[in-house]
Amino acid sequence: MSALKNLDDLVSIVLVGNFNPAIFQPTWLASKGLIRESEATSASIEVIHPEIAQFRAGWLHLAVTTTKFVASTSDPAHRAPLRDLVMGIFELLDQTPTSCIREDWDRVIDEAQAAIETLVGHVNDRKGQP
Amino acid sequence: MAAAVSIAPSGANRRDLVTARNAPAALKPEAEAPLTPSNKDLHFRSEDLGVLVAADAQRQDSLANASATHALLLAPEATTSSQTEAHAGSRVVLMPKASPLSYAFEMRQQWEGVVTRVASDEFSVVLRDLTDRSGPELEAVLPLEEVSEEDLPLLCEGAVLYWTIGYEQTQTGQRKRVSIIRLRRLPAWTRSDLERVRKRADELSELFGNG
Repeated sequence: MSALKNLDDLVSIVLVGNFNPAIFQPTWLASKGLIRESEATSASIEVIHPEIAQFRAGWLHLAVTTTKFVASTSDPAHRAPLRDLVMGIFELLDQTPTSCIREDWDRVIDEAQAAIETLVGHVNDRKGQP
Repeated sequence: MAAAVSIAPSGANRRDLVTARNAPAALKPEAEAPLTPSNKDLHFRSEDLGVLVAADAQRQDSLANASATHALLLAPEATTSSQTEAHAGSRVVLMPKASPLSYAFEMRQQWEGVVTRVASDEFSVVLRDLTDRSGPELEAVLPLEEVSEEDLPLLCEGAVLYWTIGYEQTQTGQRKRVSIIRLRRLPAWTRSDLERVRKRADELSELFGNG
């Protein structure tokens, strides 16, 4: 039986801008209908502060500072809900200045790593040539 | 001032992940260890690789006083020398380690669906395969009991849902075949939203003389 792989499917949506971390709380997300009430009540809050908010609510991990917003999940069943969640948040916070949005996939790293290894192999082959 | 270094625990940016992959052997997990819930926090284990910098010493003092776990997450671009210099003189604190999921999930099939009919004990949905996007659209009739109680109020004609089938593995190693239906959640309409829309509708109605 093959081992289950969550980490290979870690997906994050990263926004750079000016944020107010203190408002990013599970109860706020639930009150706006963006996550389930049960997910908010069972959330594990790591820190909520004017400078940083970080918590896990079921499948969702959220970390926000004054300049960076990172929403991520390693549950492949919740990739689309993650996208909906971020869209929903910034539909509500439509006055929030954001300068950059990025979606990161662990799989990209695997491909990049493979490409680097191939390149290193080519370089080594060339070194070996007269 | 000594700089503490840490991987951003979200595992969110490519640079951090590449760094983790290239970390010294002592910081890496067992190479052959399976990725199970017990060790799937490996990306967050290398706290000594990233950099966390406070914006100013005063804010850092208040953070440090408030709680030992308070910290600031450094934007990945702040690892460049110029930006590191910009933060010179500020206190450096560690980002708290992100808590891992309590389960692992292996997805086998996922569809996005639009609800076309809701009856007393079942509903119809047109499904689009997200696993193989070239596949044809399918229509399915599913029992209402497939939907979580908290999502039932969202189930109406036109609602969007995600249906995922796969294997879940708990921390005890128990493997389960699961079917997950999750309704799409968008921001709820507030009273002021409704009032604004109503006002706009009145204005348009007046403009076109249908009032």
